[in-house]
Amino acid sequence: MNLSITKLGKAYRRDFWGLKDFSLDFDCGVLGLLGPNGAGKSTLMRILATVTRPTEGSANWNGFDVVKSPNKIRAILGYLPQDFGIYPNLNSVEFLTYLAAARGMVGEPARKRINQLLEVVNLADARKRRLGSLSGGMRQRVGIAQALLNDPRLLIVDEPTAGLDPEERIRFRNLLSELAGDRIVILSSHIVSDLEAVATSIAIMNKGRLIVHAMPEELLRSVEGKVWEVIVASSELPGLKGSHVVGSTTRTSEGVKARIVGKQPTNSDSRAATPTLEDAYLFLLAGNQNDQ
Amino acid sequence: MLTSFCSRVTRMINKLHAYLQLSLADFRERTRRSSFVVTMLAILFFGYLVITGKYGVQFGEYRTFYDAHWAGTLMAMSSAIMLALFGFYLIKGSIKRDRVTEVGQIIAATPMTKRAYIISKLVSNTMVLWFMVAVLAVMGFLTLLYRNETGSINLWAYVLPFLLIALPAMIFVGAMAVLFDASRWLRGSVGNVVYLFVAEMCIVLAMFENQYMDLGAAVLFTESVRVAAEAAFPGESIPLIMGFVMFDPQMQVEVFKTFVWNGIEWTGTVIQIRLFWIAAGLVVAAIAIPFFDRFDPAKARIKTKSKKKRIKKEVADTEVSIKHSVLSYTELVKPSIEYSLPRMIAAELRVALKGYHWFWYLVAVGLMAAQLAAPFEIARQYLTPMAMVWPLVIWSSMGTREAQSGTHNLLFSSPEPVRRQFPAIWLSGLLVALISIGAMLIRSLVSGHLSYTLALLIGALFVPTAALVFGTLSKSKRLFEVSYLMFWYVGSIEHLAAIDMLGTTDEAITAGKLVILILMTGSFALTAFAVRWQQIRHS
Repeated sequence: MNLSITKLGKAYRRDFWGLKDFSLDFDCGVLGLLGPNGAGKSTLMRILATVTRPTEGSANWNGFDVVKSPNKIRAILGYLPQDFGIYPNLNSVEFLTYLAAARGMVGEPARKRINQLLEVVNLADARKRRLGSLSGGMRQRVGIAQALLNDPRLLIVDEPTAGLDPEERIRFRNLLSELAGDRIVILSSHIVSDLEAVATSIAIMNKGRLIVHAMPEELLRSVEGKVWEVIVASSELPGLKGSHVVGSTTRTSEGVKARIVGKQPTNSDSRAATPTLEDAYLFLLAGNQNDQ
Repeated sequence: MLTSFCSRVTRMINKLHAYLQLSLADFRERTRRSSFVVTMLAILFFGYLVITGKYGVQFGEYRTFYDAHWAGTLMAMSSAIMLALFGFYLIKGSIKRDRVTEVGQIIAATPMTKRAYIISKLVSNTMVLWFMVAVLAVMGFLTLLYRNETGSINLWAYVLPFLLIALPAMIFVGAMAVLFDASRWLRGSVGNVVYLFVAEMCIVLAMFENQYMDLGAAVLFTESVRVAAEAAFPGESIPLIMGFVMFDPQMQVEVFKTFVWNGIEWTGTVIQIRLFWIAAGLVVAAIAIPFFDRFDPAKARIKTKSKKKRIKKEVADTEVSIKHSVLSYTELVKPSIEYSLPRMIAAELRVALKGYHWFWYLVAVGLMAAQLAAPFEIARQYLTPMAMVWPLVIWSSMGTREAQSGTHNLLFSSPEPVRRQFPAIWLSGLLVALISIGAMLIRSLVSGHLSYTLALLIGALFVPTAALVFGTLSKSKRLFEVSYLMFWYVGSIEHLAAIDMLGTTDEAITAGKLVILILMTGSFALTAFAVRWQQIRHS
């Protein structure tokens, strides 16, 4: 099982590329996409999900071109877009039955799988409720269930944890870990900890381009010795943010404890800290922005 | 005292300024949408029909000189009537847009009152309609410069009918659109049908000389011209043809008898009647205020005790649902993939038919039964056309549902969406049409009305196909709803044979027309499939 992306690009206007020169090879597992808003994550996912056509480049799934053979991809695809709609007058079972029919799933196995999926996403008790009456998190779980209807070999989930409570986020992470063994899962998220827990490799993107594609351990190694903790007065924090890449901040009795990501410590009071994936992300993003 | 007065005036000016800013923002938003270009093209086409005499008023072989009085009043009346019918559908939906885009949620969190919001919507609705009237007025004036048959052009005589006929009427139409938008029951397709009947009722009442119902001043105008004609040709009978005069054979006149008409006499009473429409508009807008829910979704739901109970139960369900499933993904049943068109049609039908009030289904079944029980001609002329308009809301969703509900990403990423899902949408719409008029089809076939059976069958094929292509092209229900309602009303209810798609009279059934309808159905279907294919390919 292989996904090969070569110089993929999507121009929305003549002078604006949502995605540019994106190349990547990936086998089984969870590919995490990380990047700020407008980085091109959703554009990439829409292209791979055959919803949008690229302007240039190619993407191949096991040798099948995503653009030339979209139906080959659709047959093995599960897709959860960032924003998706529902039919408010249908209940979860009816909605999933409808989408199952669109995917060519019929009969008793389809019915049984729908019921089981609703159990997996913890919606079994709400299966007969109108979708219009469900909360945002519950609708998101219906979205997750529909993406898994056809037991996809390629699962693309765009910000799947948006709107989920912490308990459901953990449940979803566990589900992804379970899925990742024999298929490709592409997962985008703003929440670094979501990716940290499940991603086999992480692609960091910015302004439509791939900055780096590496294993989480490699990313962590890239910032070893470059993360510092320093305690400053609240009034000094804006100045510090102006001159350094500041990660998380914690208020303490002595002032604000800030994590600084950079090659040099801010001052002699700075103490080296153990890097996290978030630090690596900030470091690489800041480096990329400086290069531009 | 003076300070308090000044501060009150300042507050009022600030408030008016805020209203104006809101209305302007709404006006800009609407006029900058690409669909507005299509709307303006339709308006220009309508203007062309009026200035070429294809739409408007004709008095048989009698006519007045083409001057500022005639050109101004004719264009003002025609634009008022057409925009009262069509314009409503063009401007309706501005509150819905705020709801769908969730701008409404932001507005609801501001200090803006319901009254201020409704007024701003009324103003922006009216501005859009006035803009259209202004375009038609300019078009008419340019034509007058070219075709004027009297020595000079009286500019005031040209402009005054617009000020007293079109502008007040547009305020009323703008207010009706606000009321229908604000009301939960009228904001959807049901409201579209109801408005058509209200507008038609106004026209009918005006014809029975109820001056206050004469929204477009059609009776005022034609009576004024008729009096002038009768004075010029005493004892002669002056005929009157109104509307799409191009379809009327009497229009073909070679030599006209001309007479002088000095325009409508704008007496105090006449002006009072015209100003009545402004007052009526303001009253309608005032009625809309309590109907407007200020984007509070809870208000839309909690209406009856039973619903309150249901919501309580739903809350309880949510609490119950927080428990963990022990089912692992690997234990799930493996799906079997085998595409089935009948199942897809059934799935589409379920989506299309779900969610209506029980009353809707009752009427649908009642119409089916009535087509069997009623005398044949009554069923043919009235009940079958009714049965072919009742599922309007189902047909108008065809091709638009995915875009409207935001499910397009889910469906377009399913295998073969054009070859599998799209035909199912079409066939489910067709099935709805056939079921709606099935009783009449069987009845006409059994009673030997073969040409009518064929016409009805072609009509049943044509209508959902038109809905599919209009919906797919525009991604909006409105284009089909408005155009179909107009054709349906004028053709099948008013029995204008040329555009009657349902063969309600023998005159409406000609071999040529049936062939044209079949060809149109075929080309509509091909277009719809091509457009959907393009949408998926280039989304």
